[in-house]
Amino acid sequence: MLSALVSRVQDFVAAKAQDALLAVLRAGPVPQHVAFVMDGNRRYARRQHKVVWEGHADGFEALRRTLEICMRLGVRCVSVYAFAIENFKRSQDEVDALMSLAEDKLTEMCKHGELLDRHGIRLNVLGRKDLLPPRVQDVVRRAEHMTRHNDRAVLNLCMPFASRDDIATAVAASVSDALASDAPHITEAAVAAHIATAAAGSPPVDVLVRTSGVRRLSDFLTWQTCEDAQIQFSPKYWPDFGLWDFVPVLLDYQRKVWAAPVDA
Amino acid sequence: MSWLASFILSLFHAVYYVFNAVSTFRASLARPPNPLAAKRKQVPTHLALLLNNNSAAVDEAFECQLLDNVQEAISWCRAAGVQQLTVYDREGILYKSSYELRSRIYNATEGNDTREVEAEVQYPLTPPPSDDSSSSSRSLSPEYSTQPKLHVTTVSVSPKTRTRQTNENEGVKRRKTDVGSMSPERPFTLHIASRNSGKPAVAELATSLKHSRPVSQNGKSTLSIADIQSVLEGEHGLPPPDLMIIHRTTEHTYPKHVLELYGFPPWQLSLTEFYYTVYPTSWNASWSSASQKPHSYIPISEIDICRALDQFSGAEMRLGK
Repeated sequence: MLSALVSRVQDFVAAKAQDALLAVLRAGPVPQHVAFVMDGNRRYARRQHKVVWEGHADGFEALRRTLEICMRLGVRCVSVYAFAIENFKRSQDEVDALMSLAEDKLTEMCKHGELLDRHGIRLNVLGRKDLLPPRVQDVVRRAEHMTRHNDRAVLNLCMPFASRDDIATAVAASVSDALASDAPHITEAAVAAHIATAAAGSPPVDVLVRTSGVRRLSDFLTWQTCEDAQIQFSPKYWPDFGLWDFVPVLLDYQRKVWAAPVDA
Repeated sequence: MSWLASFILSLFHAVYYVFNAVSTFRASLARPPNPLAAKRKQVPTHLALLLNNNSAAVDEAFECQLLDNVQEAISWCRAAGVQQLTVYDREGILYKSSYELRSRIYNATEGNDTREVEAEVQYPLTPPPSDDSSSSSRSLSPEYSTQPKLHVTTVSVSPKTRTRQTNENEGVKRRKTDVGSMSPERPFTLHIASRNSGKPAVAELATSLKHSRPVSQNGKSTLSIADIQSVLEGEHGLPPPDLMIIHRTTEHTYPKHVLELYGFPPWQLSLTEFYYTVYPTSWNASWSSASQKPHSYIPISEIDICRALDQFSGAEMRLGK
């Protein structure tokens, strides 16, 4: 009984400390759009002596936790690399497990009172949805429909996604537009308007965070991050990523904003 | 209470500054990397060097030092077994100096080697004048295609032999290499790029595709990744680098370097590994040296290249699996 009480007190103190930390960080500039490459679920599972799908389930909890933090900080748009088109090359068992996880969690997230509803988050699923199993496509359609009126924040769930596919799709769409309007030239802005995140109404990416220590974009949001987005690499595996790992990312962003030259 | 939160946030930033300064000092004491010619598990075939220049610092002397440094980087890359080097700066200083770079490469290799060396330059194509009076660009014959301006200059260096067969249409002349793997006589390719080689080049490609591609019956353009790849990474484009070193050529004003990509072509970034010094020793130098002139050119060094190669050697590529 005493240990249960101590545990409750510890949880209470930790929650209050987190509230205080978020209030302090909110006093400075906060990025409008943060992207995450949620890498390291499998290596995390191996280190914890768990099976791979448990690593992915723990990864989903980390997503829920990180999304909560972003919302409480005032980040308006979060994009996550949930599944790469290349990931279909994984074993059929793992792909099936990931699709089942996506189906379960999407349904859960959109329920009344759950995370998306509580924070007024609209869900966009970006990428080649036609490659998803039909039952997952149904769940995606329902989830997007249920959250379509939410207007406080946006979650872009990129699955299955690849930037080269995104750029090729944008080029094709811009060519179709130009053919229809008989425009002689296609501008960079015309192509950019068809890039998935822009087409979904998201602001430019301010910060991209990749976990697990890998220093690559792995074909995620290359168009969106190649200009002036800050790209941060964390050595932590995604299921271990928490608020304290995010603090230096936010401090670096705030420093950039404060150091930027003021427009005349 | 917001003033209290702001005050505490300032304290956070002060503590963070001290933490980064200490980390930068510790980084300057790190053990040296393996030498250039050391045997590594993997060596990048194509290395990119992204040079972040402070535009306020750029003058003629700065540009000269920049070109000297690129020339040094070429020799280091060749010694390490790298076969292609891309040098990139956002503003296009290097791109505008392509001719001079090519001359320097030619003169440097001619002086060091008794064999003749050719440095062949592939300049971006000038598209033929389009017929704007035509009512529909789709009336152009299938044989006509407008080459998009990709704004990449390529300099190929390959030694000649007496038995070489020359094909004037080839962009790169090849010879059978019979020397050891560290020989600087192997063919080497330098690509020179700027921001225009990226998103603007994609837009140019889209424009040329509009004029040359067939359309489906519903008027939509049919296009595959392979179609785009063949052009953007082709003979007049830029192949994707395996490893990119991001180097700031003027002093860091803060003891931490956060990665940004300064407009580098996005198509080519898909699988590129990034190397940059998180805790820049150049910050130490500017802080400790009172005589350091502001905006002096800070060259990339052989040690930076070696550290980058060491990091790449330890990297694991899973390619989605």
